[in-house]
Amino acid sequence: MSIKSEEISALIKQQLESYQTELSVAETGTVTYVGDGIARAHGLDNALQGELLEFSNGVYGMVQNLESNDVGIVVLGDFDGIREGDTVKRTGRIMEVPVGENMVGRVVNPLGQPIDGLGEIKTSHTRPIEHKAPGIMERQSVSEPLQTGIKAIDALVPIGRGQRELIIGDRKTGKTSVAIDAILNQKDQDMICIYVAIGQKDSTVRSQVETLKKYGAMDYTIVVTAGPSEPAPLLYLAPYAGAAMGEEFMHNGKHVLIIYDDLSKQATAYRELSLILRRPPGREAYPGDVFYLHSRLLERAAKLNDKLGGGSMTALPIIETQAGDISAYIPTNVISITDGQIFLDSDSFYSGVRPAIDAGASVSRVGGDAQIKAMKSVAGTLRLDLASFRELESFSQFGSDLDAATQAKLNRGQRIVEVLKQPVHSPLKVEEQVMILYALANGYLDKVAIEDIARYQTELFDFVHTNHQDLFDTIVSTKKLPDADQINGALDEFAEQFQPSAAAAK
Amino acid sequence: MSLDNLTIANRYSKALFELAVEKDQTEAFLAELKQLRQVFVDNPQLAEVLSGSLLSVDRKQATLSTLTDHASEYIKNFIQMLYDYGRMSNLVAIIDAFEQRYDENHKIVHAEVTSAVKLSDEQANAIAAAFAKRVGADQVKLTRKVDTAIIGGVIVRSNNQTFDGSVALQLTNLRRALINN
Repeated sequence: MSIKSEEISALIKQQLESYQTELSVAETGTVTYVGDGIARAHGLDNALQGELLEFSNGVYGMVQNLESNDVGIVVLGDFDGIREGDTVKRTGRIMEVPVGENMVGRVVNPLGQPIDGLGEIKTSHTRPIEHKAPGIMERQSVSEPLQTGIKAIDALVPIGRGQRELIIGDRKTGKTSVAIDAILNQKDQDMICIYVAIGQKDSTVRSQVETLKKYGAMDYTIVVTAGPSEPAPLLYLAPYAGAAMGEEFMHNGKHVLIIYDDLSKQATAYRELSLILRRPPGREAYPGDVFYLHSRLLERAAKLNDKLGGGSMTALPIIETQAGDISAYIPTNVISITDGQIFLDSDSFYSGVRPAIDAGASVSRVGGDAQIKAMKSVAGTLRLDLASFRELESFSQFGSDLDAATQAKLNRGQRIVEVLKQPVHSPLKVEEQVMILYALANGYLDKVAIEDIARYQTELFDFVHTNHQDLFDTIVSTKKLPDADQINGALDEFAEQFQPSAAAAK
Repeated sequence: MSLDNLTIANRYSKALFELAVEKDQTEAFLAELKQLRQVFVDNPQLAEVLSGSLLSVDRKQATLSTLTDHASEYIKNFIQMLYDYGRMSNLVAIIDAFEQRYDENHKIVHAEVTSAVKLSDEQANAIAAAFAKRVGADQVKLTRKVDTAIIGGVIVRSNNQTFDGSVALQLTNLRRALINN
């Protein structure tokens, strides 16, 4: 292809013609203090809260504090180039991020700029990052399930589309893995996923992106990341930017899953900038409005009514606790805002129960309505069985003389724990989950040795897929359990051909 | 909590200015205060010495009297009061604030004009007249500044507003327009 100079000059000429010279009139102020991601400026008497300002070196800032003599500004970028005495200009705009279909599959920073080296993102419009959450009349109750593909979650703490379910636990208990698995399971579900990484190591984010790519999940995912080396204001803004991108899809009738990983780091970033802005510190030195920081963010997750297109945004915020302390300030706040929590326990994690979901402490306040009928019927007694097993387990350690009923309960309990284990990045379809939970609830696993359960499960799925695919199809299409005779027949047939392993035979 | 410089300056200047208006002596006050400010600007240690504890009270009072001896009655009281209340270090800010009030009252606007080449008096007057018309002031006092980096045109800064008509800005805007389209 040759460059045609005439065409280019014609184009430039056209653009130059439309360019109008006009006197720029701007309200300006003078920088009196710069440091740690914030600046203070004198003047700017008419600046508005949340307004974007431009420093003389082209970096943008956002008005955070309006005081009697000056304004406190958070600097959205490199603050090294700003000096005391520089001018800062009002722009009259508020902060916005680009949104739309073209963002999907990309890795961006909180300003919506690509950082994956795949070139410019061409979007037709933008949305303000701070946006009022849908009101009462714009919502409807959560009714559709969001399948995470994790047995322990879909059976015990079901999540519905439009719900806010907190994932909480100590460091290294698999919080992010649960979230990533939930994204992986949204393949072909007509969902858009947004993964907001706040203060996560760049190397970690890179490997998450690689995982998503490997399982083909980047085709429907946007990754928003503010790494630990970014200034605190960007970490503080990242979740709102992600929410704005999600809202665009929600208001267009699509379903969105957004993950905030994690909000404790955002709270820390907000605490940092609030303290430097000299706002009074409260409990744990967090500012007074740290509750509002999270509540206004999580309220933006919603299930819209049918008149507005019926779109939804499901939020899975993540909170990291210190030594399992869920009564610390930020965890209690976020627990009270969300519609339930998935509690990950480090003891179970290290004893090999993965995902390490603590069934007793985890709840879902609305998701039960969204569970499909088949799942509801097989998972109904699971939570109770598990709870009574935990109670008996500690009790039975004292003696060995146990009656048959107790023995049976213990037996069943061990099998429940075993069935709920699941390797990372291998989400299961809902019909498969129903099948194995049905087998468990109806005693088909009681005769199988603990060591064989994982193998039993995979072989069962293969068997049903090849010989009784109609059972799976019925569950998917009617959302109900197939005829009991049919399903029992298939399980009996499978039990006959299942070979116990040598280890179990002993 | 100690008050900051601006708050103090605002309060004292308001009181002083209201007194001046009442006595109909605003011009006289301003002229005298400007001289007083010059003394403090020329001797930066003066305020420090007067508000600090390096000198004995008698010596400080003696130094103060050299300032007040030639002052008119009200200004004398003003200086003495500032000294008594330990606000000598805020004196310059108070006088600045007084001048601001005076300017506001008389519709005088201060503006800083930046140009690429030195402006002639004629040009400066033309700018001042045009600017006065634009902001609705009776009088515009210009400070001239030369900065070759703006290439051409002028930038007028006044009262937290910037009127930028420089060639440098036009070029930046043009560049942005070409890149973005």
